[in-house]
Amino acid sequence: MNATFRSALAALRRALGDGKLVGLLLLANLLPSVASALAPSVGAYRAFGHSLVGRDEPFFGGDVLGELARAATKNGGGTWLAVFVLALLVSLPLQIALSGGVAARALEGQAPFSTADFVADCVRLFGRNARLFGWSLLGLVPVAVLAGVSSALVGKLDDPLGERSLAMWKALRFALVAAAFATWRLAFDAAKVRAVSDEPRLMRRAALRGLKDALTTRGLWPGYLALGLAGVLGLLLLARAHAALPVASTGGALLALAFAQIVLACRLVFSVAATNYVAGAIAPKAGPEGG
Amino acid sequence: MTRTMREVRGAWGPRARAACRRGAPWAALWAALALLWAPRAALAEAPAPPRFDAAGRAVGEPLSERVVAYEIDATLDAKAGTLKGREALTWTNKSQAPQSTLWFHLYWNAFKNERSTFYRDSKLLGFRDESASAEDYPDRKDDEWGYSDVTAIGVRGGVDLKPSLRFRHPDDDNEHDQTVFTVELPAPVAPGASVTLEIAWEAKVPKIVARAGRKGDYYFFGQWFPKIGVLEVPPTRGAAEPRWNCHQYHSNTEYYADFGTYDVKMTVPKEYVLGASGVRIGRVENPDGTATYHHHQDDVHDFAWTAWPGFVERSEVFRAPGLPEVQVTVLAPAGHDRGARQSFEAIKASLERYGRWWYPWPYPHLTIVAPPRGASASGGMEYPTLITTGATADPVEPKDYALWSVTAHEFGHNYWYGLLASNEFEESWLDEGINSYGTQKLLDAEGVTLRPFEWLAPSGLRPLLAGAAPIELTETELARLRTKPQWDSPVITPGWKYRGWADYGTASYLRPQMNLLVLEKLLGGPTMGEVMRAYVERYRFKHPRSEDFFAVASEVSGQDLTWYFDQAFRSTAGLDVKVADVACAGATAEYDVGAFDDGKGGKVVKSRASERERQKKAEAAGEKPTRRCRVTLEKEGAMAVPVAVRVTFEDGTQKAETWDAKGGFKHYFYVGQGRGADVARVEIEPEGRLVFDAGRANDSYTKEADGRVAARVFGWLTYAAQLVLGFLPSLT
Repeated sequence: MNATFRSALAALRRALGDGKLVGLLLLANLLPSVASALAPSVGAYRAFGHSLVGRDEPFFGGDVLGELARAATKNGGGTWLAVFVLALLVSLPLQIALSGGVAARALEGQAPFSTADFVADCVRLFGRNARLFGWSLLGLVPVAVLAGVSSALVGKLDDPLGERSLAMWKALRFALVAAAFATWRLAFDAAKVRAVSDEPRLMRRAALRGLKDALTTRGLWPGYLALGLAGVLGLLLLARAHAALPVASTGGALLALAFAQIVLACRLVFSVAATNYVAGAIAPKAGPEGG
Repeated sequence: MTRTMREVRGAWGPRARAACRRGAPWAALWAALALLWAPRAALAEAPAPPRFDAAGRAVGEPLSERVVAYEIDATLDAKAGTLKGREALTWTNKSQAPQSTLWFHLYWNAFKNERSTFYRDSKLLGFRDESASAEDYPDRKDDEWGYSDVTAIGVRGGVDLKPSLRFRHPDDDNEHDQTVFTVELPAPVAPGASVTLEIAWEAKVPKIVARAGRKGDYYFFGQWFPKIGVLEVPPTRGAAEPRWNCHQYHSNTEYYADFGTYDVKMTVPKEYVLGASGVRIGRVENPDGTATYHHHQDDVHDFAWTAWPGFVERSEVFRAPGLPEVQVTVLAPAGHDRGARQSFEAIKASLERYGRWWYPWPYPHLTIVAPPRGASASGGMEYPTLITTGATADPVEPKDYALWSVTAHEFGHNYWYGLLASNEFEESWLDEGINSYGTQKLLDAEGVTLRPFEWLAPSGLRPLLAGAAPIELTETELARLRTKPQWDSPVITPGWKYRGWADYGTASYLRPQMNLLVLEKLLGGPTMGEVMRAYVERYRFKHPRSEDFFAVASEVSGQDLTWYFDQAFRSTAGLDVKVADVACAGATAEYDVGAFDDGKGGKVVKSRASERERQKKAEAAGEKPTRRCRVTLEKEGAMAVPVAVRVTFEDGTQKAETWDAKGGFKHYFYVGQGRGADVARVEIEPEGRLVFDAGRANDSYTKEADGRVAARVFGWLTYAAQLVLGFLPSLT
């Protein structure tokens, strides 16, 4: 077990050292987000630029939220939403491409990071990862079914059970669904690594191998779960710290946005670390099995 | 001894209370010294004398006119979901005219079939508990419909009235509706005389709907017995002659009844925990495995009860100097200890604040019911001395917004519906609206705010999730989010005549709440307090109407407020005032160019170029140029109220204006010397009096642009988008 957590820690250390990679991922995350936030911000400037409302509030008071909602209704809230959806649509293929590069990078070991190689891997592996993405989405179906069915079952538990027992059942359900999701995500990460290392022609096979790895590789799941939990905890703590920053001034708001990049970087570091960890665990036994 | 110490704590001064807390042997001495030292203070801290005895009977003179006296004996068959009841109703004719026709409500027939006015209305107007637009609404299994059958009705010891029973539909042409009936007496009841009727009925308890019914083995009984309507006697509610007011049960209406006494016996399986209006004066277990509970209360106008084996009963006593003691019982599911504790805290704060703001609540007992999961349709409701809230085992600490707001609101009804029995069918705002105003004042005074992320998050993650997006909304801000410059119906509209559920909701709750808050700001807090107290003082245990409230407000404030009430309560007008334009320019730009009489019969022609040249020279010589500014206000919505405007100039001087807002716009012109005369800032209602003004951002203008809010919006929206997009790698 110690070896498992040592491997997880090593994967995290390596992700932390891959500053350029994380920076690239952050940039890919930031640019569409900025684009989607611009239109509402212009709307906010029109509504509040010459108004006294909300100037000295620490975050968003009811008046600002109300006025934003009114501005959205009057001044093209639909357009704002459309821009955000567009950013999502652009980000999806971008992230698919990036995930190929991240998996390839995870298999490179301690080699120095090359942006050109990374981009080339992203492009080379895009088709493969797009197909893998499709197959892996199928894997989400049982997770969704489990979430739905368990929710319905807990909902049917009646009150004489007592609220405390009910809370216990709810917590159990949450843990079960979270474990199922973690398993799916682990299988997906493993499949991405297999898609690079094994170079199978059929991505369905890579997806199944990923699932097999997730279920059978000794010690893989606990280490992956530990990384995931640590990532969520880190994200929440940093998000809380971000929320505590004073944003009443323009400088403060921009400083908070800069700090937000640390929150997101944390999220991305743990995501890269998870892929590194999986690659480290299954790479020794990875290899062409036909295909 | 414990009781003695509690009495000491209630009656004597703070030093004695502190001594008692410490449990010191000096407690009695301190207490005695305190009495000697400050007898007046000691008297001021004593609880008010009780208005009712331990059996729920009024001490001394009746508090109300007591038109009715009910003695009810009801038995629940919990397995079959049926109720059998008998009631002896003594009704007194308070009018000057003999009465031979008696009108009754039989509310549960609203749930009998989809031909009822209740279901017809809800399909047309919407409904608070369920989505009524679905094609298969109301979706009920065969045993989930509810109804009441009067099996026998007659004058005590006399004539059978059943043959004369007729269903009536005074509000519509729905001959299928059976929620109102009349019976004909063989001889009229003379003015001032009484008649006692004996009524037997059987009821099928509906699947929980509109505040009553069953969910599993949980039962709530509201509007559950044949109940006589109100004979409005002049001058009550403007009646010129005696008239029955007995409306059908609509999806958007509540209730209206006369004061009287209620003596009620309820028999349920003995393992059930029962809560009911009034004071419990007995409980006996019967040989058949049932238990009979006996409750009584004088001077109320309704009675409700609940029974469920899963309730845990908790009790505390409310004590405050100068206010009557109240025993408070909370019935909540097991495991709701924290929710129950906050319920006690919320109700004690309400008893104290409402008691001092409006009137000391006189009843000795209050029951708070937190319905179990799946039975929320019976939650958030008020009955005299019994209210229902929402159950929560896991409230936000220290003051859960939902729990506090619902508890304070439902208890507040014990004033505006309980003590002042307004007609909720016809003037719902008199209860819901005034009560929403009171709820808002209480929540603001208690510092209860809505923190959405904390409220929605499971308790284990609250410290992390809530802190990650610290949005906090006050009750006033929440209300202001929904204001509009134009509404569908006047506030004063019968409940079934609104456009729909949303229109009913805003007209009954939000708009009167805002209207009264504005009135408070126009009159001043102390005067508004006097208005409210005078209204309660004058109309408690009576049936006030809107005009009564308006008359009290005008009288107490010493102003004719008709202009305000006509717009705020009798029209659909709303308001959005805004600063539409501010423009300042040098005088030459607009006014000093052209041909001017020279006063000698000739003309002087000034060109723009020559004037600019002249002005430059003047400035160079140290003269300040003339500046002209124009401020334009605009208004959306038909409401016309005096609008305070504050204009601040660059040199720091200010000018106060008042616009009557009768037109759609208003120009203000200002002429001064030098740039210091330019308008730097315009503020509409700088003191924030017109809280119903629909737009807030356009209520002010500053010459200098400020990007702080936009920067904050940009930062947070970018961050939020990044978080959402950041989860895409999970999928890819």
